[in-house]
Amino acid sequence: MKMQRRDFLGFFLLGGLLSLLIRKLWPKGLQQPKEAMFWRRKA
Amino acid sequence: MAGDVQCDLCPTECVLGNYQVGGCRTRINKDGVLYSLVYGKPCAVAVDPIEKKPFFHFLPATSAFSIATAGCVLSCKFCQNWQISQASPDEVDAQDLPPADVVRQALYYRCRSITYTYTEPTVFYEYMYDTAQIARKYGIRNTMHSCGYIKEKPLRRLAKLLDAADIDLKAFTEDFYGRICGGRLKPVLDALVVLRQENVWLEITNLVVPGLNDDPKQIGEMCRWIVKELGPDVPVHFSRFHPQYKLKDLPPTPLATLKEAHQIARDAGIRYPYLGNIRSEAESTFCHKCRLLLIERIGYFVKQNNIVKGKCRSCGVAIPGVWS
Repeated sequence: MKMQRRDFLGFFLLGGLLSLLIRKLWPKGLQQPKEAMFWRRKA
Repeated sequence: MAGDVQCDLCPTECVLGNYQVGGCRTRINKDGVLYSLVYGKPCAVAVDPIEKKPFFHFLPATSAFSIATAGCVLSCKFCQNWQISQASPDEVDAQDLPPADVVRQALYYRCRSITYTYTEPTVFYEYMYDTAQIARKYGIRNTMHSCGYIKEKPLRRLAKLLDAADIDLKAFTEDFYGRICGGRLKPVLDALVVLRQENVWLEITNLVVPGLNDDPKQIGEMCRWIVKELGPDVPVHFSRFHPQYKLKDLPPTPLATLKEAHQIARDAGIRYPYLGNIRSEAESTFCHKCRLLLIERIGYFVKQNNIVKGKCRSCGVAIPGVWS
């Protein structure tokens, strides 16, 4: 089946919606832990 | 192999091995990097009158958007919020509320300030700092209620974003801080001086606990230190203790004890002493010069305000505080 422009557009929109859904359902999975501001390595 | 790290936020200076959590329960060493466990995860969120913080000389009769996470740098036996301050982050119900959303909600609820409070804002320093930066951009003031147990470098950096601080000066002896709070007095006194130097509006709260820190001589020494090192204009709130946590066997602070502390403060030269957690005339603000009733309060409610452009309506003397 030959891919047409509307198919690419469809996949693009689908990807965007999927990303939005993942962010809503699984927000913690995408968060990076926050590094502390005041600390040092011990020798 | 990941090495040990030392936290440089509070004077405890915890040294943590890999995957070890700090004494405050909110920092963890993961593979040689220290992370916050509470960033963006408040377990307490509320809109309160600013008078509840308590701030009596800062934007009276306005609302403060108040947040806190679990954890604390101290372990006071009389803690009034021990259910969350002495808990680990995974033991409380927290919500996801990134800094930008804190500010968004503060704007939505028409809060003039955000207060970092309830537990101990030092433990959610990064969250407080990032939120404060955004708040500034939207004209929202930043205030905190803290035990003041924080090292100088982080405090000075935070002070650049802070508009007001209420610091718990729990007692005036190292013995009390060591035995009852698990900390030290000196770092708190240093923090008070730093805040004064950084021109952060300062108010002090002293929870008067019967038999532990209610000695009139000590209260006098504390008040004289405040007047000498911080100035007579710093409001001091003597707050009534209610039996809590590990001190349930003690009685609530008698009114006579609180009134005595109030008088001691006035005799030492403190211009604005108050009594908290109890109904009395000492909840209201009187002009230090002509004794006119400036701000009449009933609990957290402001009934009347006779401060005009920061001055007493009667004698015209400037009243210390942030009034607009």
